[in-house]
Amino acid sequence: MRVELDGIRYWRHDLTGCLHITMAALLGYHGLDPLEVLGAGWGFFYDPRELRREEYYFPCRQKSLLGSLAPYHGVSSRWHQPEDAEAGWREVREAVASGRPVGVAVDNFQLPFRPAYQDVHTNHMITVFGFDDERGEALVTDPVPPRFTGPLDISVLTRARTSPNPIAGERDLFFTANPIANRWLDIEPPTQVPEFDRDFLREVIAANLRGYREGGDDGDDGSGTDPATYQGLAGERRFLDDIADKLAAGRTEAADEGFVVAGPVLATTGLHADWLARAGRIFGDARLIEAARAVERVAHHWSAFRIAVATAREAPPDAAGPLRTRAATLVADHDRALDLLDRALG
Amino acid sequence: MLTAHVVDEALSVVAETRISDRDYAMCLTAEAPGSDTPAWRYENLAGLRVLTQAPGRPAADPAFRCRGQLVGITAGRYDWIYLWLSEPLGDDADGAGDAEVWLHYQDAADPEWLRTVDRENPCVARIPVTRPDQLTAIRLPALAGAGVLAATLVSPPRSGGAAAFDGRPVDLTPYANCVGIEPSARPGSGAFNIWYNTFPAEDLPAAGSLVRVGSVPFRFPLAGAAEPDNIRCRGQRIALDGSRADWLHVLAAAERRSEDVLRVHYADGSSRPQWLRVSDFWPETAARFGEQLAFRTASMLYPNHVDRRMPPAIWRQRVPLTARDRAVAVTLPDNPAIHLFAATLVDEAAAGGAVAP
Repeated sequence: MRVELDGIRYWRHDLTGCLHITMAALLGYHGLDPLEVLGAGWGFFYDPRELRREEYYFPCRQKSLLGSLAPYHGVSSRWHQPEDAEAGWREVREAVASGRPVGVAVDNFQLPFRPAYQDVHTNHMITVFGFDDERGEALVTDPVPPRFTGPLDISVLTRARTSPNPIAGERDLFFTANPIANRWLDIEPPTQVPEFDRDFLREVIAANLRGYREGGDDGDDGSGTDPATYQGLAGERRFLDDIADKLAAGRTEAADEGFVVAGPVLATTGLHADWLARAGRIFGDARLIEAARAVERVAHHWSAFRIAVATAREAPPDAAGPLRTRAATLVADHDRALDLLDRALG
Repeated sequence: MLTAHVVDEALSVVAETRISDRDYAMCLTAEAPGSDTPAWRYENLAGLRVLTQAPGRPAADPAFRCRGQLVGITAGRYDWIYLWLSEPLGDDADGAGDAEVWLHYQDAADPEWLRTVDRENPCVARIPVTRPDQLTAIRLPALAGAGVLAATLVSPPRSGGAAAFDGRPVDLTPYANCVGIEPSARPGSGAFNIWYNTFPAEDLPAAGSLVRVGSVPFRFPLAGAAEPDNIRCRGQRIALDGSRADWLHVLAAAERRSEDVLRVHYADGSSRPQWLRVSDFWPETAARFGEQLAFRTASMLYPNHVDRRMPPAIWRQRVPLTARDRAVAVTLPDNPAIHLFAATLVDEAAAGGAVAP
C-alpha cells in the first residue's frame, strides 16, 4: 500500500523552529494559513517544572500544545507515546492512512538529511505525510534548512524515533538527555475559522494586552514566596532577572534554561510581529504597522538574549551584568510595544 | 554630486536638482512650479547654503507643524531626508532626548531618530533612510510648536563607474574575538555560532585583501589562520580615523536576525545612538533589513564534516552617521548574536558617486 497525502506545503519563518514549522505543515494540510493561526497568540508564560530539553519545547498554558500555540482558533493537538517502536510506526502509519499527516519526534543524529547526522544528538520534529509499504519507506518533510521532502527508510526513521538522545559530545547541547520515545502528535483542525477582519484583530490584540498587563499576571499567590510560574510582562522581567541571578551565582544550568525558554518566546514574538504587520497592510493601518515593528524589536532582543545565555557557559558570572542590562531594555521596549498596540487599537 | 528632490507641503517631489553634498538643498514651494524650470539658486540663510526658489524661500512660517502625523511622500529610493525646522531641536550630548520618526517603506517600517545635523545649525535635521527600498511615507514626531519650513529628499549617489575606493576601511583586527572562517580541510577550531559552524575560507576573499562589495571597499579580515577574524559584538569601542563620514558600511552576519543600538562618538565629545540591523547567516534565509548579499559560500563547515547543502551568508549593511562632524569611535552593542567582519567609512561627497549598490 502506498499513501501520499496532497496539500503539504513548504512554510518556514526565520525566527521559528521545528515546532512551528511542523504545525504549519499540519495546519496547511487542513487549508489553514500558518501565519494567521500561529501568529495571533502572543504572551509570556513559563512553568519551570515543565521545562523539557526539546527543540519543540513550548511552555503550555493549555493541555494541548497546538491549543497553547494558537489560542484563538479552536485548534488542538494530542501527543501519543506508543509502547515500543513497532507500535510507534503502526500508529503513525494508521494516522496517515486515514488522511492525517502527523508530527514525529526524532533524533537528528540518525537522519541522513540533517547536518547533525552521525554528529550531534538533538530532539527534533518532522512531518510524516505518506508511506510506501512495498519499499519500506515513509514520506517525510522537514523545512528546517537544509529543507528536505522525500522518502526515508522506515528502519532509519525508527532509529531516529527510538534514540535515547544521549549527551555524547561537547556539542550535544540544550536538547539532549531526553529520550525520543517514539512520540508523535496529530492535530484537530477547527470546526470554524475566525475571519481575519478588524473585529477579530481587535479581539486578539486586546486579549494579548490583557495577558501581559492584567489578571494576577505573575501568578503571585500572595504568600510572599516567588510564584512557581512566570506570567505576563512582570513574569517576563522576573524570569530574565532570575536567569541573571543564577548565572551570577555560577549556575551553568541557567544557560540551558535561558536558551531553551528563549527559543519559543523568540518564535512567537517574531511571528506575532509579522501577523500584526500583515494586518496593518491589509487594513492600511500605519499605526499597526509601527506597533508590529516595535514587537519585532522585542523579538530581536530575544535573539540577543538567546545567544548571550548560550555563550555564558564558560564564565556564567561574567554574563550576569550584560544580561541585566538586556533585561531592562527588553522589558522597556516590550512595554513600549504594548503601548503602541494600545494606541493602534484607538 | 547628489540628487536632491525638492518637495512641496505634502512632501511630494516637485523638482529635482543636482547638489553638492556640502550644500543643503531645501525648499518647500508655495505652489507647484510651472512648466518652466524654476530659477533655483543658492542663498545664504542662517549660515547655510540653501537652495531656494527665488525669491525668498523657505518661508518664515512653517508649511506644517510636526504633530505626529503620517506624511506620504513620492515613493522612491532615498538616502536622507533633510528637514529645516522652525524651532531648534533639543541637542543632548548623548542623544537621549532625540525624537523618533517612523519611515514607512513599501514592505517594511523602521524607527529612526530625528536630530540636528550639527550644533551650528540647530534647526536643520537629517534622517537616514537606511534601507534601499521604496520609501513611501514618514511619520513626524509631535514637537511642541515646531514646524517644517523646508524639506529635501536626497537620493543615493549614482554609480560613477570608474570611481572607486573612496571609502576608508576601518581596521577591526585588534578587536576580533571570534574565529568564523576556516579552511575546509581543517575545520574544528572555530565557532562562528554556538554550534561551532564556520565559513569556508576558500569561498571568501583572500585574507587581508581589499575587496569591493557593490562599490564599497572593505579590508577583508585575516581569515583562515585560526586567528580571530570577526567581532562578536560585546560592547567594544572601535577607534575611527576622526574624519567626517555619512555611513559606516559593514560586512556582518547574525545568529538569527537581530538589531541593536550602536553609539557613534564625535570629535566634540558628543555621541549619538544609531541602529545596527543584521540578518541571519543561516542558509535559506532572506535578508530582513534590506541588506545586500555580500557573500554566500558554497558550503558550511561543521567540526566533523563539510555540508554543501548549507550555504551561509554574509551581508553588507550600513549604519548612518547622522551628525556632520568628525567621528572618532563607535561603541558596538553588547549583542553577541551580531558579528562584524569588516567596516568602511564612506563620505558621500568624497565618494564622487561611487557608492551605488
